[in-house]
Amino acid sequence: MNALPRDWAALGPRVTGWTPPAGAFEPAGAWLQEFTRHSLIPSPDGSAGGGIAGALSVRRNPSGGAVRLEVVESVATGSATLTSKAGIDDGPAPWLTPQRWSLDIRWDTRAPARAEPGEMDQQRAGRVEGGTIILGSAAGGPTSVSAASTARKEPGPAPGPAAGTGARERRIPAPARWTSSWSLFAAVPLLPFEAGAPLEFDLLEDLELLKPGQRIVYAGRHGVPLAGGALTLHVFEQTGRGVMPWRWWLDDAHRILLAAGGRRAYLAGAPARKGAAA
Amino acid sequence: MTTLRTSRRTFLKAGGAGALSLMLAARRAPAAPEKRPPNLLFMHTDQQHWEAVSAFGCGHVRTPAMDRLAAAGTSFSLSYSANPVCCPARTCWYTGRASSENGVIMNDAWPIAPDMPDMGQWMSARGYDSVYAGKWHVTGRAFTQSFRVLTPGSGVGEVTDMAVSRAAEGFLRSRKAGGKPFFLNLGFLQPHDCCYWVFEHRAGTPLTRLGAIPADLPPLPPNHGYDPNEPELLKRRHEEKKARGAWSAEHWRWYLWNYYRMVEMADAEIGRVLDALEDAGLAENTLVILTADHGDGLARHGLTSKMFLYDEAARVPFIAAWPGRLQAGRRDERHLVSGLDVAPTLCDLAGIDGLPKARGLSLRPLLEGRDTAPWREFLVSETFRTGRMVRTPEYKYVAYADDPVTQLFDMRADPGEMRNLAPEAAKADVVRDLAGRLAAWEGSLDIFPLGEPAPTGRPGKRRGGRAPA
Repeated sequence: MNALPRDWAALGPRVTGWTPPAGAFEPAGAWLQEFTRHSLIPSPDGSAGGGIAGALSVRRNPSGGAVRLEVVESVATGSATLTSKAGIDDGPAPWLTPQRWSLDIRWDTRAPARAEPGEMDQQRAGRVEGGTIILGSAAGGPTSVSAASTARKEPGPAPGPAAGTGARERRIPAPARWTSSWSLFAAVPLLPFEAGAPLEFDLLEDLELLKPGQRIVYAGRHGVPLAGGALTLHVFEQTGRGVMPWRWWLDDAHRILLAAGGRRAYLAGAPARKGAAA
Repeated sequence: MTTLRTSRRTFLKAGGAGALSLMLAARRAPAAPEKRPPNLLFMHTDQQHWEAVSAFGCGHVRTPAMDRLAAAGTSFSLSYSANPVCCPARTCWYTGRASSENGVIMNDAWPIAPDMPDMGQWMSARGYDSVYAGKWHVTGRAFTQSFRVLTPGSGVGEVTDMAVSRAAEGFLRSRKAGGKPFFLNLGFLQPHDCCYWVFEHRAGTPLTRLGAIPADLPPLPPNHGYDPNEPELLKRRHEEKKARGAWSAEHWRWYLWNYYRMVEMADAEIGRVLDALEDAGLAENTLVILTADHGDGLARHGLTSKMFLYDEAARVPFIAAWPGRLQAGRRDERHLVSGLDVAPTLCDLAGIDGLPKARGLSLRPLLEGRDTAPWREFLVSETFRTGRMVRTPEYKYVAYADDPVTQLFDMRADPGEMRNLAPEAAKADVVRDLAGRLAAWEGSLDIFPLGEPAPTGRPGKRRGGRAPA
């Protein structure tokens, strides 16, 4: 009988031969963590899927009381790959709340997709000022679109300025406690392995979508009997609006080995160098 | 007859800067038609129950983006899928023809009538930049035959939907003044991932949680039980469910909780698109329609999924908004609306001729507040080619070919469809009347002859393959 917890079992054969990263890990130090991103698609008979659908890397650099994160996430969706590169200046623990960030979004499309080069690329930015989250275009541009986008050719009348106020800033009242979905990869390792009341916060997913009412709680230690050897890992469970119940699996050094929930998982380890998508 | 109700509460509940800006845009915009054709943004979710919108009163879900759209436009309470399963529902949207006429009567089997135009082709030929991102799923026609595709769907909402909204966001923010008007179609997959949730929770499967159960699990619905004398198609569904293993009440309630989170995921992505539309200054000249291909059983009648004609599967959310041009903040609880109405509505409001032989009606008079205009007295939805439903404002009549069990529900007295009135002598006249309307409708169909099922509905997909549709 397969006694693997659901998040691991859902990866199917992808965990066969997988070995967890080893060595020292200092959650509050400088580090780079790489993950393969998986789609957890079960068959009607319930058997696992777990195909690789992208990659994520998070580089943490502490700077005084703050933290700088450099994030690269690629998502493969059929004939397109979306790559987001974020530079985030986070505030202090525990939530590492983003204070200022930039986000570069690039598309690599293949047939049958027929987007024009750069048509969907964007350069976004955000900051926090006086209790307000301000989302907009990257500094220096009249619109929120990338240089590649503005250079694209469009049929019909000659290209002009963007159709409207693409440079408009969008303002959101900052919640009392919030962080970004990417910042959580640096914040969760800082949480103590202690049962207690859930910690409550709001989530800014993709540095853009505010999802309130998140709760994260330490759910204890759980065995993970992998073929290559059993692990006993610490689990935090996160629930909230607009996200599937999400679990963070950490080793004794507080290193995230798996983050999973719903139909998505991030498994520690660098993807194959020939490409993240499979 | 009920009266059309304009819901201020809808607007007030939606609140927020987005709703306010759309409303202000509505007040600022000129009443006279503009010369420039409107942009068209047609967004659809997959498997969204008609009630799963917080603006419609559902307290288990929070959908600020859909609420905002509802506040800016008109939402229809009596909106029905033309055929509550993915491929047929979508083909009906894009052809304006009933499933029996367009050929796509079920998922990934029979292909669309090859010469039947779809909305992508139709709008492209009339000067629109017809663009698609996300799930398409019209059997037998690649969407590249009809649209400029930004990014396709992957089959997993949690993977695809973010990419769809990001693609749309980039597309909208990069639009240039003076370019072609666009017909942007966004096929979001959520909350369809609930199908995978069902696959994952077979008999004996522990719930996918390790921590405490959230305190806000929705209760089982009042119509969770079911009539043992249902038509055969429904009996089979129950038998299949039993064969997979019965769920506990906790399973059902956890399913509901998860389902609503999936709706919220779709909502967030829709919000990203609406933000981009506003930020790019395009909202005032863009007609937005949001609906779903079909609903979900959502524990009603002991069912999940679709492919049946109870309201849980057949009834869908439908919102249309165009600030300054169409009525805002209205909840229409009177008029019967069909998925077949999408194409005629888009064409009418775009000022172009409609698809040939389209069966639906343009919603324009209703959206413009001319709700005294004559309107349909009933609509028909199909499931496969053998099951049909006649819906009037008061009743629903369901009949399946070769099945002696028919169903009649008084939709006002029994909205949960728990008491089948068809066998009751006192309702014989109603049954006769509705059966007659159905026969007349069937007699008017230009039925497309079915050949052999398509060997594949999607590239690399076998009929009956593993992905749920």
